[in-house]
Amino acid sequence: MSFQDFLIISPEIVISFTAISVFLLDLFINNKKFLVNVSIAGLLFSFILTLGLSNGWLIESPGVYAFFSSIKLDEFSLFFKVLIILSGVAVIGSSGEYISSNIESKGEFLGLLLLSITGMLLLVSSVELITVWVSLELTAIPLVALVALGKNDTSLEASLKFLILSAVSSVVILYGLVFLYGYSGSTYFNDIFSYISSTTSSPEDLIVLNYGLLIGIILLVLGISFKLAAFPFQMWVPDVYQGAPTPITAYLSVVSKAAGFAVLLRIIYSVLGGNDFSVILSNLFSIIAVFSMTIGNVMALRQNDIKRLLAYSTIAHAGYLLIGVASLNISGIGENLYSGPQGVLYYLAGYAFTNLTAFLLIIGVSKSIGTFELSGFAGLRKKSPLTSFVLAVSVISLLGIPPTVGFMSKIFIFSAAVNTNLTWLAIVGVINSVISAYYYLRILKIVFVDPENNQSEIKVSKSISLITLIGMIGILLLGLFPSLILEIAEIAVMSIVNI
Amino acid sequence: MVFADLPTLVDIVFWIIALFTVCGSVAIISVNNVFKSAVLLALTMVSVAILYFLLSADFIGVIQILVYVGAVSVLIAFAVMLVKDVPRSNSANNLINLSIIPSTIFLVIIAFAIGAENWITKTTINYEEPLNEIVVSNVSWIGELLIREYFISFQIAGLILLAALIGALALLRREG
Amino acid sequence: MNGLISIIVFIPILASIIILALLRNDKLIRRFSFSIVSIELILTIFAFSLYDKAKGGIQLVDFIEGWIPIKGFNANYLVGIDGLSAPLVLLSGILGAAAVWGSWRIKNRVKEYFALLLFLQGVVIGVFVSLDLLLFFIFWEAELIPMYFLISIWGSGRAHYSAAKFVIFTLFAGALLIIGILAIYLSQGINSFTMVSIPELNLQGIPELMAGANLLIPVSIIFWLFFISFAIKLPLWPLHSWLPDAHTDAPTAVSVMLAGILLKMGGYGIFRISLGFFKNSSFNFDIAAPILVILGAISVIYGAILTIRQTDLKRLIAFSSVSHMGYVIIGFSSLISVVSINDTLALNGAALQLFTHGTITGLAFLLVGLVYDRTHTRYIPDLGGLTSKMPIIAVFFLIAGFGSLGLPGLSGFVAELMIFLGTFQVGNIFAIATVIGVFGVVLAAGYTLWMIQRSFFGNKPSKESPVSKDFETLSDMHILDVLPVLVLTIPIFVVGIYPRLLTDIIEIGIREMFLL
Repeated sequence: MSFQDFLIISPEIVISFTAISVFLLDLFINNKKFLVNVSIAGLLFSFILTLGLSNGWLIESPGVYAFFSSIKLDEFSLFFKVLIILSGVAVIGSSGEYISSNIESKGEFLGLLLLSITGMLLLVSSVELITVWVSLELTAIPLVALVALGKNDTSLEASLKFLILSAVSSVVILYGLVFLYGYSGSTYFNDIFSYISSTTSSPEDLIVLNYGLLIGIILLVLGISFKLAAFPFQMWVPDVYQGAPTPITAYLSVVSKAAGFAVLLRIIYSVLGGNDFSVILSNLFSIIAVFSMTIGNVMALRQNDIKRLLAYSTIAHAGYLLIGVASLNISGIGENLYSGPQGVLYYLAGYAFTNLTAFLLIIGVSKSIGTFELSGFAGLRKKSPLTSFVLAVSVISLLGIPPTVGFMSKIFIFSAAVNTNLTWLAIVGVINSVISAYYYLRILKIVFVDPENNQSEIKVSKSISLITLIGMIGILLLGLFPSLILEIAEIAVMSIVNI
Repeated sequence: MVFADLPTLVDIVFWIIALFTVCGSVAIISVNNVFKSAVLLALTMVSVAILYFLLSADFIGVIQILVYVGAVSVLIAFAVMLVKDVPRSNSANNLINLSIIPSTIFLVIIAFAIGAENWITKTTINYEEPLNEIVVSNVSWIGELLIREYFISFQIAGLILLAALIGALALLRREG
Repeated sequence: MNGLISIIVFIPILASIIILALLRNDKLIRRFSFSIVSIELILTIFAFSLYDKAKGGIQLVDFIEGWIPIKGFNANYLVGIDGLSAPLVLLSGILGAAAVWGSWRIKNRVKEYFALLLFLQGVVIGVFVSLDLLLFFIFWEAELIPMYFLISIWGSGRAHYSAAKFVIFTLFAGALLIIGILAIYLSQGINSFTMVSIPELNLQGIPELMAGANLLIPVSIIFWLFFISFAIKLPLWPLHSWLPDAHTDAPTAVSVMLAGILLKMGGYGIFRISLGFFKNSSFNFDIAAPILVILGAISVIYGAILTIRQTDLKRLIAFSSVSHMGYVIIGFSSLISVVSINDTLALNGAALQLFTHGTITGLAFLLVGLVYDRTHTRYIPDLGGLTSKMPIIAVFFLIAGFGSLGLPGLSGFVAELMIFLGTFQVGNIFAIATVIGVFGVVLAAGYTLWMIQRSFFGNKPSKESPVSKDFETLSDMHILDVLPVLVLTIPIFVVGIYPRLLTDIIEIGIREMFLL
């Protein structure tokens, strides 16, 4: 362990220290606004460190290992670190008002959130099975408490549900890891990769020789689907999203999902690389994708609570993203960008902008109208034209209509699917996005067409307005100039592929 | 191949303990009395610890008994005794019959995976400096692994404990 | 780089952003929008007249290479007009002007209304001029946002239901379209989004590449993906059910836009893609063309019969659109027999029908809007004898009606005659379908005249009718309504008397489509 090892995880160290100092400061300081500022300062400092790591200020160049090859700092992990840290800044930055009025334990709330972010950051850069699992736990355990911190009665129940399913998924993942270790003799991604490459020369080999490895991978994928909010571990999503404090819902829907996809992609492309596993896995992902999209979209049709509705919509979006994951095209990487993983990274970046904008606006608006019922949003246009415009842009992006980023994301995902002979999956995807139009249009109708039914005044705090405005600009900008992200995404994906 | 050889004493003990572990686990979830469940849990933990001993993982075995039997199970037993209606706890819900199908399928798949013959039995990890004595003492070996290869995991585990502690405290405050 | 076409596309879009972001005063917004569409009309006429018929090909091209500059995703910004799109761009200019000029009565949420209407005009022109498939698709989908809001906010009746139905049908069409686009783009040997070849820019278009391409999925599947998508938009029986609802519940100007140019997006797609891409590919039209002509004939008759039974003025015109768009498909199916320039008569007619139907039906919807503003009902049995109170409206209504039923001297006649003559010559089932189509014209005469007779002539409304109370106070056309009505009427006469104005240019477009 050299100094450089610690330099490589300096963003994580900074955030975890910020978390600890927030816990301590909470005991002495009464002005809780200060704690929010400390958290944001910590996040921003670690963002600068992350930039430093990517630009060669702190280390020579990305692509280095640390801590006996447990951690790898590459463009892929940097991409996700930036995404996670900035989303964290958006969530914490805009929830200052929410925390001060809705959360009893303010210091704990912020500190636990920061700890969970630390876990996410470690998760996206770990290349060793035990580190992956421990980081996964670090992301989940603070969230169990965070979900329960809401004031409403449902949040305890939601937290219990989250705890149990999180534990089940952890056990499933651990079981998968045991198989991976038992059949390859190593917990390091690179070692497992070289073991598989040396023993597998045809798909038949795979079934006969590496059956245990296959089971291990499948269990791992199923367990990770909990993080992705995808089938078969999707049933916690609506209750937890509804019961959790709204900033936590936003965090779960964006950051947790992004980190889950990061692990998934890393395992596929670093552990399995160009092996024949990809054929079998592609089928597995296709099935998960179809179920997630269909369940999410069909269940969302009848929801009246906006948080529940968006919860089902995130399940559907996990399904779309899994189409991109299923479009495994190992040989095509580098030659054509319409291969799946770049699309997934672009989608996740766009989805972060879109969903954060939507959820943060809901935080702001629901504070004034005092309800999460969809009908409460009636007449929003009249009370706050700018808010409703921004909300419309994010809903249109979720639906996937140009000129928003949601449209371009879908184009890239579907073209990846068509390109890898998964045209049927792309067709299921587009039909699903037609179904989703029904409930997204309902939101637009309630906001823009329905007459107002209450007199409450809408006052959205300045920080939320600012962050959602940035989000809206991001949605439009990335929609019109997708290459801003896609080029970075390409480099990121190239950095994890083992061939 | 182990199974083809004549069973040694270790094998016989293993099978007895394994059977006990499985039956004990089934019993934990099938008895209706929570207190009995807690006691069975402790017993099952002990048998798991014996499995560790059989694998020459003495330290883990001791820890297993200390932590799970000594602390966790006792804590559970205390918690159970504070509850009024111990004998009439919730029984499993109606889905229990339905759940047999997927679990059986899962069992078959896993059995095949476990029964496959190419488990790696020797470690293939190449440490930078190979340990001089091979597993002379479990404790020192584990200790060294924790602060070398698994340093980062060890630290993350520390953060997890911190998060769990603070989270539990925050929840207590919410209740109060 | 010429810039004119890009200006035409982006002026209305920019104007809508300016209205949303900067302008506050309703009066100012109205004047601003009026002048924007006037400029737009002048620009489209200018672009149309700039098209050099002697030179042919794609003209007024704007090209920015690598709009999405990523390896393997060759999406360019490429717009321009050819013989096929030039008349449709002109049509969009005319109808956009008529729709905005005709909306001076809108009092409710003026700012959003004009912003959305201008945005709609911009993106629809974008559909007609984009020569890059991805750009085409972006404009195609972008049209949904303004349409949804325009129908559901300013519409009447079950406005939200109709708007959602419209969006979901169009999204479904878009879903098929994108699969088709991706399947073509990702096929070996194509890897291009360029819709036409442009030798000056060294761009090889998909029509040229299709012949030697190794397609990802069977060519017939791709063809039907595209065709069904366009047929929904056109709309063709049995995919038409969104149209009557959307038309009936939309505000007047939106009905004008919908009938006038949005339906033409489907027609344009059929020519540009179903014909342009597949005529030179391995796709066999021998089976497809008879199916098309049968569907077209069913559309004509089915639409006409349903039209007769309608009692709502708007719904009646909406169903007549289904019938009239059937002619486009009948004419289109004659592509099977095209071997030389002389065989493209029916195709020219079908393309002309897109233009003429746009102006005639646009005029009809505009006038129905005027009648509704006065009588507050569109229920035909409640109307009657309106000629005495609104003679000018009645005259224009007669023009629209006669245009629609194909009176010689008006533009509808020319288009339909060309379609019938051309398709009849193909023989067999095509001749039979043509005869059925001609019967549709007879029905059209029936329902049009009957409708005019019931609402404008005959007895005054009976006592039970809500109109009878204020019948004496009904006024004729307002001075501000003259402009939008005239801008739609003039092309009906001009094209009716001198059809070569359009047919010459359309012929060039069609001819190039066949690479003759």
